[in-house]
Amino acid sequence: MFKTLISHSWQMMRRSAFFEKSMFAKGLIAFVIFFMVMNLYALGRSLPVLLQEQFPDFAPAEWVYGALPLILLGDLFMRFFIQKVPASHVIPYLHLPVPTSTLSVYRIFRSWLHPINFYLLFFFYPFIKMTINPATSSQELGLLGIFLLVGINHSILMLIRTPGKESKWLGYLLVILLLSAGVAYYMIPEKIMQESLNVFLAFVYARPAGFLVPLSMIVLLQFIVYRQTIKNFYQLYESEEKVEKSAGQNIIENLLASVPVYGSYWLLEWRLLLRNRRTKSGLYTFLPMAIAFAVYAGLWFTEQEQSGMAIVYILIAGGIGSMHLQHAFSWESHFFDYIASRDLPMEVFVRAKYYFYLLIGGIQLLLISLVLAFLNIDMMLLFAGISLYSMGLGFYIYLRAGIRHSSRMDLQGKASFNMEGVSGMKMLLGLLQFLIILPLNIIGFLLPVPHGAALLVGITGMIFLVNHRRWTRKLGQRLEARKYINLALYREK
Amino acid sequence: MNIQIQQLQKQYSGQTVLDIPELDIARGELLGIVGNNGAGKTTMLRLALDLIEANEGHISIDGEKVNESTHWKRHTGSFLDEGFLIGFLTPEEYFHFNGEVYGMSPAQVDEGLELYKRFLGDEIVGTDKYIRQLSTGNKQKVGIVAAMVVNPSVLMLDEPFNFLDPSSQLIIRNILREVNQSRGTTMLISSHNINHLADICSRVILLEKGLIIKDIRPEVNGRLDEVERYFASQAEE
Repeated sequence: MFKTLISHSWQMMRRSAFFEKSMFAKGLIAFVIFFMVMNLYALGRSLPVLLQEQFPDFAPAEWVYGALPLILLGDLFMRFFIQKVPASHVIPYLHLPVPTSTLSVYRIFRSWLHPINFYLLFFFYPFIKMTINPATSSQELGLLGIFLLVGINHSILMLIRTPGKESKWLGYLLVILLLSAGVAYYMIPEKIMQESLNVFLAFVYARPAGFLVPLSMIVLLQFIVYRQTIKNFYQLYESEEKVEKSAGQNIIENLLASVPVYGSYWLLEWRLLLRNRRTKSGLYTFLPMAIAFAVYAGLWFTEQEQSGMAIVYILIAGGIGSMHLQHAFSWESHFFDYIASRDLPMEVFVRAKYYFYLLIGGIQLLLISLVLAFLNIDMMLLFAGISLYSMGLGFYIYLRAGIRHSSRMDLQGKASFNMEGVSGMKMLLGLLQFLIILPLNIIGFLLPVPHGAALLVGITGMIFLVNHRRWTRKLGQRLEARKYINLALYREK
Repeated sequence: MNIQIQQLQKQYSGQTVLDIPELDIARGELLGIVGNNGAGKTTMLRLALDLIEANEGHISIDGEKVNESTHWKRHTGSFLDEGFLIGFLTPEEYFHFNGEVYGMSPAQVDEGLELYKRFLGDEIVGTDKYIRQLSTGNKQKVGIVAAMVVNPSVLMLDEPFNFLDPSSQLIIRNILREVNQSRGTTMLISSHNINHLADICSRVILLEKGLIIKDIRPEVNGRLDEVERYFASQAEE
């Protein structure tokens, strides 16, 4: 049975929306993944040299292996936003004579295959090769050790994401312990760095205790996850049955509704975001994540160092819009028949949506700017430039691509970012904004003016912001003309 | 196989949505469950399938409490909603997988499917479509057939006539009756279609706000007049 479940895993992946895209789209996505992996690899390879140049008194290995608590804390933080535990995948098997123990093991197995469990290895593999002498210690065991430490993070997240109060409490307790290690890193850096280094040395010198401790932790935590999953399978169904509190109109809703012309559309958009699992999680997590990221960037980096991360910043700056507009006209496609059959001017519909995300993007930019104004003024300008770029050209591309959107997505799904409901063409167009910013950034840095990159991307965004009435009108006309095709394409699917 | 319900209670947020002190469903009985929306029909079936946890009491299938073992699943076929389907499989793959977990070979499953050939029509099998790409009505057919093709001793279906065209409704109604009579399958079927239930059920219970307010045997009473009168009175209120 387990073998069959594994084959289902494979089929699920092989038959996902991603593989239904055109060869070109697949190739492009594969290239982006390859590009990101190679970036990590290049970072791992070049970091020893860079650190050596910047801090000649310190050994690069000490910097990185001494900062393992921080690296793991960052990894754990990212997991909260990225890693989904595939609990819902087992629902179709619950009524069948498949032992719940098998399903629990399957759930654990599936969760280990998540790419987040492996990405650090692409950085550490070259870094270990560059910094560990194979004659006196084992590079492979060092890599294995890193994987085990990552595995602890994975197990903690599994605990938290497993139904049942007990496991959640234990998971959060372990998070607090890790956070304490992170805080201690700043209070007693030498000691923590030394301990962290000792842990890594235990791996490369093949000390049994070095492996036994993390391995035992993983086994113990996964065993708890296994037990708790069996015990709490009910909750997968219970959550569906629970009656949600009916939302009364609150201050925000009243405020949105009172806006002339666009108010009713804004109210609809707001409720769409708040009353669906997928969109709600994106809305709640992205704003704090963006601010946390801004603090992190503001504390540690200069504008020059951050230029290479422009792609990440597009997602962060104006992030809620970037998160949700990728699905523009696909999530409301569930009621698109309603919109299409009523006297609703598409131009106003498109513009209302644009203004809505512009408003949220503006609030986000304001908050980030306030933080960065104190921490790092250079970074504030770069963020402002990229935010304007996102809210101008970026949002335009998403909306423009959405016109061709005929798929409908399951809003009750939990993942906040995935390709479901995104057509190949839309995805390609969406990628454009990432690709365009790179040459802009390079040209900007070559300009003989301070903050050239921030200025150039900002101005590009501003051009679209200033001309938005024109392009939203055109998009409205296009959407109006396209609606018959989209509705027909959806029905054919 | 017989089914017994004892002191069964289910609550959500302190509100009781199902309360059945006692209910015995005899082996080979075809029990229809009717009631307005929110009466507790689906909750009852979910409890019977051990998909949700009862606050009080229990349900037993052949003396085996459903929440204490899983042995009963080997003899129980069910389809409540789309969540039971595996969207990325083709219908054939799903039928075969389903057969596998019930200990049937693909050949046995294919042989069993013959009975449902007319019901399935020509839009489901052999079309190379994944289940997720089928229409709601065709998904419903796949779910029902998957539940029945394994020859279960107990069958539970939630609103099996929904989304089906009139011909398919009549076909499945006849199949249900035939299977119940020839194999002695105990069936629990919830539906809003009183006419279909009156035709095939040996017993019908009427749920209102989680309580059984009527327990009728159509073969004794002739038709489901009582049930029809109840719904008419509800509509007039």
